[in-house]
Amino acid sequence: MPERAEDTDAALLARYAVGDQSAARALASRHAPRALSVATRMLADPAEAQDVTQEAMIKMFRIAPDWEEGRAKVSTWMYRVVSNLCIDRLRARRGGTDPLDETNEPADTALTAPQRMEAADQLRLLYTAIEQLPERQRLAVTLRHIEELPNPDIAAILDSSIEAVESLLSRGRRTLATLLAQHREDLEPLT
Amino acid sequence: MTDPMDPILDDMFASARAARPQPDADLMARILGDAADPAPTTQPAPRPSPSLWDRLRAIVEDSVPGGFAGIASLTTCALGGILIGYAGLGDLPLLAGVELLEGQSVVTFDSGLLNEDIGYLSTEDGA
Repeated sequence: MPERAEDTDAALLARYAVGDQSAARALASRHAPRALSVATRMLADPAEAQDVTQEAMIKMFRIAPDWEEGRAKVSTWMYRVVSNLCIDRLRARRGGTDPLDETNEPADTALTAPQRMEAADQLRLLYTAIEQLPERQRLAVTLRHIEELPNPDIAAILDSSIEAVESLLSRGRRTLATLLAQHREDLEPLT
Repeated sequence: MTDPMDPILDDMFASARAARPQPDADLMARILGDAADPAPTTQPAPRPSPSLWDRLRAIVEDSVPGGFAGIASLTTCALGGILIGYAGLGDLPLLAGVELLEGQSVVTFDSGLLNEDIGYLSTEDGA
């Protein structure tokens, strides 16, 4: 059955649960990019982020038969699974080194080559600064400012209060501003 | 007051949103392969539910600037305040170690023990 734009995530899970593989493709195309985005920012390791994305999608497929429509948003559930997987991995690797390596981001074809280099440098500075944040601040900042989730959804993902999320975001932004201020002259807007 | 870094940060976040990584064909193939096999062998161990200690730690980290280090500093300051309040400012010599017991003081230097004639130091011409 072809994917319809109006299909809800819950409806897709129900279709997958009865063996509809096209529903699996639709779920993967909707949720794998979100999972990969958060995992990449949290782990700063493209290969590990891909593994987390695959693990999270497996969990989604396995829960499909038991999913109850209306109990939660699938996207919120997905972000929560990814967040927990990333935090588990960060805690497991704590004490080791976390090298910053390139991400498999698409090139911005609207920019000239020098502009692309400058944009890449600016993003690298941002990613490096995000990596300096404590894990829950890093998660909150990523979900709010890169995934553009509302604070109540972030609170549900972090199993926390909205006030606590606001505090995490405030401290995270302040820390990022402090870390990036020393590179301010390199951060002028692209023209 | 608006932080001058705010617009710069917002621009950088916008760039990061535009550069979000996309799953490549290999990853999508792995995911759809898992979807076709609902009992994958790569299933990770279930994550145990967070302990009371983990939840307490998360609450403290979310709510208190500095986390447990901040609480430790605050507790040390509070205990110091209680000690000063209990001892009272009138007993500052006791806190400084000058008086150990009532009516008893510590003599830290006795020039008479030097066994030298230093009387000349007490005269103006040193004679």
